[in-house]
Amino acid sequence: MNAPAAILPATFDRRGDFPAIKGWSYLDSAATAQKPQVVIDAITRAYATDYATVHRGVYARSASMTEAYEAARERVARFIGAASPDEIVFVRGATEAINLVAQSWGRRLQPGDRILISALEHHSNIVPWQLLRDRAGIEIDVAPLTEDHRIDLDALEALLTPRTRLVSIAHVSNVLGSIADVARVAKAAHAVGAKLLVDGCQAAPRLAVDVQALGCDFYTFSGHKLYGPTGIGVLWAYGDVLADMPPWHGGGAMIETVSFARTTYAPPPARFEAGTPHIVGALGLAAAIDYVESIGLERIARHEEALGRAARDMLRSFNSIRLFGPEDSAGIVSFAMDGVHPHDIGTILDEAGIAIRAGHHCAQPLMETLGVPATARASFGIYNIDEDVGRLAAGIEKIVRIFG
Amino acid sequence: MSAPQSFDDIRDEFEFLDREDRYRLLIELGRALEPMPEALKTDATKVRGCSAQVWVYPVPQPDGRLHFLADSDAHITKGIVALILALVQDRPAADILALDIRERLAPFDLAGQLSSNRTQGIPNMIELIRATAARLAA
Repeated sequence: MNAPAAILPATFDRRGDFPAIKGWSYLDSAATAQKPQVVIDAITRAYATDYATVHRGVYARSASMTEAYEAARERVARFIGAASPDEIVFVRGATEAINLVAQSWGRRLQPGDRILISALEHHSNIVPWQLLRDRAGIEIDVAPLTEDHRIDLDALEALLTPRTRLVSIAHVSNVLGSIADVARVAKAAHAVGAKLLVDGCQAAPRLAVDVQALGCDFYTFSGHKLYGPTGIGVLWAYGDVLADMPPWHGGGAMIETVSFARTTYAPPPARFEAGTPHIVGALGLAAAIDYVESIGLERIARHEEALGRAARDMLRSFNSIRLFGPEDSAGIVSFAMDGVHPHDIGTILDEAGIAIRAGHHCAQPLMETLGVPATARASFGIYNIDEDVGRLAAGIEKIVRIFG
Repeated sequence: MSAPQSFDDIRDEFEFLDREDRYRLLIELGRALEPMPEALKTDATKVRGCSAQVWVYPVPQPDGRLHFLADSDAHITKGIVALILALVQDRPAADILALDIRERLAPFDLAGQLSSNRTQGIPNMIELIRATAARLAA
């Protein structure tokens, strides 16, 4: 008998799917997620019995590997609601995707054109634009945060100008867990003729994403944060946007014809996948997507939100702890403790079998905004359970005892 | 608990403590460390590291001994900084070079603080001390 969704418990226990977890409170999924056995099996199978190159071989094994690789592209397209698999470019990760957009799409920008980012961006959504600024003479604007550490959308809208060509923001902040209202930003960006790039690294593992409903122009995420392999990620853009972009890496597979006088380029996505791609990475990513969808993104979102809320409530009970980010953060909780460096927190928790991240989280400008050199961050994933919050509480109590 | 002076005294005391008191001892050692003037904590004295920052400023003495001013913004790391200084402070460069600092610190390896793949702060501090001593001893 099916219970109505409303009375299903908010959290579930999937620790058994992950060989790495066994008794370990891994609270660093925002950095990288542990891998379920089904993903490890898919990778093993791909290298062991199914392996061959793609798009080149005349033999059957290569043809079937090509089919699997292209099926992975289709799998990704369905996962994020893309209209066609041709809109999916496989990259090494979101960092490469943003650099691709900056180097390729960015080539059309003129001195005086502007790019608008926010104060909570990861370095990977700051530095590629600075490289472009140094080369092309563009300007970078930075939207501030609200008091509860969301991107201040009113301020962001006020910073849009007719010279703004691109807005580039995180869907979910890797430090604060705050979720951006992407649809609103898309509307505002389009109203001034700007495009919108969304860094979905922290959203793809936690929220159901539909790129067309969001209204953005570019969307990217990394496979390894989505329980898939490292070294594989996705850039999505509409077909006509990609078709209008020049190649950025030259090599095999991205060409139509090559002569010493003139080379013509393949249509996207091949145009942006020079060289032998990360075949096994793509297959592993498809297996990871199958896995998360077998649980359901809505359930995962509810699970992580419940754990995040419990963690926030628990941390709030300590006088010495300051919490960052909004109350409805998506499974990511950043905090600081009076008189205790996040590195100390991480060290003592590690000994208790709890892995958190301590540091600037590749978001140094955000640390400046928050007024701290670093934060401690607990981030939740599929394999976490309520007990992990209890263990975190016990660990924090121990820190309080030690630092007295 | 008062901060002992010599490295061997610290090690002997450390051995008898439970885990939580070991952390307390390290924190106390860090607190007792000779203060490093804020003006010396610059990018030039910062040791490459990730989440905890470590600063080291070597002050060679006219008699060939090495004095170090050092600090960290994390308490446990600062305690380990103090431990290292208990080993090397004001010793002749040649003596410092002859020391296996990592091996001497091994009994204090709380939660893998000293492993090089964790945070580079402490291993890099040891490298910097050795490099300075090597330069002076040459």
